[in-house]
Amino acid sequence: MIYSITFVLAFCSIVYELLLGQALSAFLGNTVLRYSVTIGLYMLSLGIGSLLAEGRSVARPVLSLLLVETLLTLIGGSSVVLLFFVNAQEVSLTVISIVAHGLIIIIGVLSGFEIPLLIKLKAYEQSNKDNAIIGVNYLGAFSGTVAFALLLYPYAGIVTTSFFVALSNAMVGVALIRKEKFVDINQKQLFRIFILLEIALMLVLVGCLITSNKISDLLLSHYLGE
Amino acid sequence: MTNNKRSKIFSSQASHSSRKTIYSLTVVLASCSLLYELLIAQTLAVLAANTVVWYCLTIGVYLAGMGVGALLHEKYPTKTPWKRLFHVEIILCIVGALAVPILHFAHAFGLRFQLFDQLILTNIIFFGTAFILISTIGLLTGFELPLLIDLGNTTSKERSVTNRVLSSDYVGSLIAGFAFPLAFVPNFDLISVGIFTAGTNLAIAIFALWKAVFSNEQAIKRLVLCATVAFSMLTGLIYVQAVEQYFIKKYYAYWDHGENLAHFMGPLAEFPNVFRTRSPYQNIDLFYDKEGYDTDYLIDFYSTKYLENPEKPRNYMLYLNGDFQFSSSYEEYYHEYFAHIPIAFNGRVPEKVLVMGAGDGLLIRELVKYKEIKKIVHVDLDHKLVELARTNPILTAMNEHALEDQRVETHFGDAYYYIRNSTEQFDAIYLDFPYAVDYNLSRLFSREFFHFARARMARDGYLVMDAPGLENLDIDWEIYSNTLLAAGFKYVRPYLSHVEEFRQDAYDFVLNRLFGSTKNLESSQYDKAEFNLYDFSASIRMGFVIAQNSKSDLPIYWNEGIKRHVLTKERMQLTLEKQLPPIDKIDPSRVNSILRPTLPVNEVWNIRTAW
Repeated sequence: MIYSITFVLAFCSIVYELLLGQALSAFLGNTVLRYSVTIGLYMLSLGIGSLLAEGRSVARPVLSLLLVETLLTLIGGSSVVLLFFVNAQEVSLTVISIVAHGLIIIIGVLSGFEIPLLIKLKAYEQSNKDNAIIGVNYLGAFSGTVAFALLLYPYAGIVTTSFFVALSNAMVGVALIRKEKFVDINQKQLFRIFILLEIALMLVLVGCLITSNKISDLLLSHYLGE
Repeated sequence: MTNNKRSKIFSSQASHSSRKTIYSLTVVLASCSLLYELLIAQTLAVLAANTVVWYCLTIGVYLAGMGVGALLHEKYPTKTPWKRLFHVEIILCIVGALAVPILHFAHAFGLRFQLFDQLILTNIIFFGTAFILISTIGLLTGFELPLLIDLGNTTSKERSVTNRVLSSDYVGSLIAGFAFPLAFVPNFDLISVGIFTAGTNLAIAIFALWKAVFSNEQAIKRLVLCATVAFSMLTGLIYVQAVEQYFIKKYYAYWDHGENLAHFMGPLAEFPNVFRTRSPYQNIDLFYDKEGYDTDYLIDFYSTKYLENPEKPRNYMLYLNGDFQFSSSYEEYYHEYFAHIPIAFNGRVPEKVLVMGAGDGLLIRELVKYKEIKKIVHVDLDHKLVELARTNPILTAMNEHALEDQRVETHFGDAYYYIRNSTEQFDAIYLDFPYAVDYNLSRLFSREFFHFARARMARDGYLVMDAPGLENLDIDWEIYSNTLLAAGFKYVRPYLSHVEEFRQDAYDFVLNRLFGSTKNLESSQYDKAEFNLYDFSASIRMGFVIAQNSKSDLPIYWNEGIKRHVLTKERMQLTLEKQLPPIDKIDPSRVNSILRPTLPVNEVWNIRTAW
């Protein structure tokens, strides 16, 4: 199960980043620049995230992972919509760039937490053979890039894709309920609140996904100032 | 025995400075590897279009390769990390330096199979090579990080250096991510960038060689290898222009010279050199194609251009990123129809015109012929292209210095961004963009772009765009019309540049030219002549679309005082007579949007060709 979680999380993270890179190049042009910078920033923030994931957060991996996933569901799922709203306000180039790159960094840092936490979680379960997680992580990222380029962007579009990916993320969060046994007694309350939050987000995202064409239209007419 | 010696060396070197060395090595190596991948992604984008797809897939395969490499290193740990680092670096250096040329070579070789309609073979050769290169570099890179962590740990007693090495690695990636699009692509050819990067890897290989414990004999062998590689790379760097020219020629000459493989892979001295200008956005290629087209001898039957100005350039071709833009022999068929038909159709000459794209100045040459046009705002992405159009003698002979007309005001920037933020009103909007071969261009054919353009258009004005693919693909017309209607235009009509398909005097001329007589020929010869004529009229057929808020009720405007070479009143009427089936209901699945692109319609697994 840890491997499936790792796979899905890596998939989600890179698709969030590609969505932002694509939205940015749609608004501002120069695809090569946007993609190169997105990837560079993503890797850097992944690094920062994994450095930050020391100490307290690794000491309680399940709760931390759930927290990270909840944040990612929220921020990742709304990032495209948010970027459209910001761009609709006809704000300056600088503001759009800061918001978009800020989102890229935030999502990267949050994703950076994932691997150390998953490795720790794995260690709870069995012997400490952790490199398979890194391999699965790369595999998930690889699948994300392929799916985004060949299927998600041309067939589903960026709004539907962002809901779909956030939904997968929320599902992983909810699935963490099976790891409740690794949560400290005095943190169980908090853990359950976050699980409930993820369930709520999941339901909202299912709704978003069903009505994603309507939402796209609304978003577009707002953006176009109709 | 060696192990003892090694550990002594390491313990004596365990100092703060050597840890710093490891961190700097990590930064440099990470940026080198990502640079290789970006180089390959960019080369793929140039040779197969679809920039976004190839960037995504390159990065995905790179990550997967890195993962596998790291796992392999764990599975087969080494006691002599400097040795392994040396081997990784020297292979990485060789593969990295050769990656771009190998990819070009695979493309040229693959083109030949496309010539014989063996598309599958073409794709296997080209994309197969690309994925092997990407994953090899990924795999080798995957070895680096654990090696560096091992090396760092042997230098430090107090704490694990893993995290520091990791973060140095990420910093390196960031540097490459910024440097590639901002510093390298605009200023250097990709082959040189590859060699520079490989030089860095070579330097590190030599450093590792110095650190590693090899026997004298082994060390000398490896030094000789390094020297050979360095010498080859230096030679490559000196002759880089010749190498680049070699590949450019393959790209443009394969149609005429591709059949004989041995000859094709040679230097192709008879094909004239291609004049390449690099800009941050594209490669601008201008060359003289002495072969021309089979039906070139018919030019003077339809166009008065060379009859009036025999010195006008013939057979010059302009390509942007390998995509055909125009041939100097035929460009008036495109630009005269593009400029004049919408004016005729709308019934009046606009006063204020917006022209987007069209950096070659040829469309503007047609527009400045109207005295009634008071102002032309010209927006182009690429200042290099416009500079070339203003200064290159071939191009200025063609565009007659139209870009320097007093009424033309040129802005440089992204067309989408410009139209989104402009507040001016225009009586006419001309969109002259290359065919949407990737998402970067497809946004200029999007519902959102057209919406903002419509907002800038006067109520009784018009928007006209070149619509490549309209001539033969129904699906393109569906996408163009649905997208324009979704953007709020109420009246959308396509037209094709048209010359009369049959002309008796042209027919007689063809017969005379091909067979020396017009009478008593075999029926197959008559067929051939007819086919030649048909071929010619088909080859100059281009698609355009006019979009308006309502169909103009003014009579057709036609000013005989405007000098044209091809477009006569009869041909204008012929063009306007032809209709394509109108679309009255919007099909959302066909609308091209930045949210969900339906252009380009060309396949992903498809290499780019010049013809």
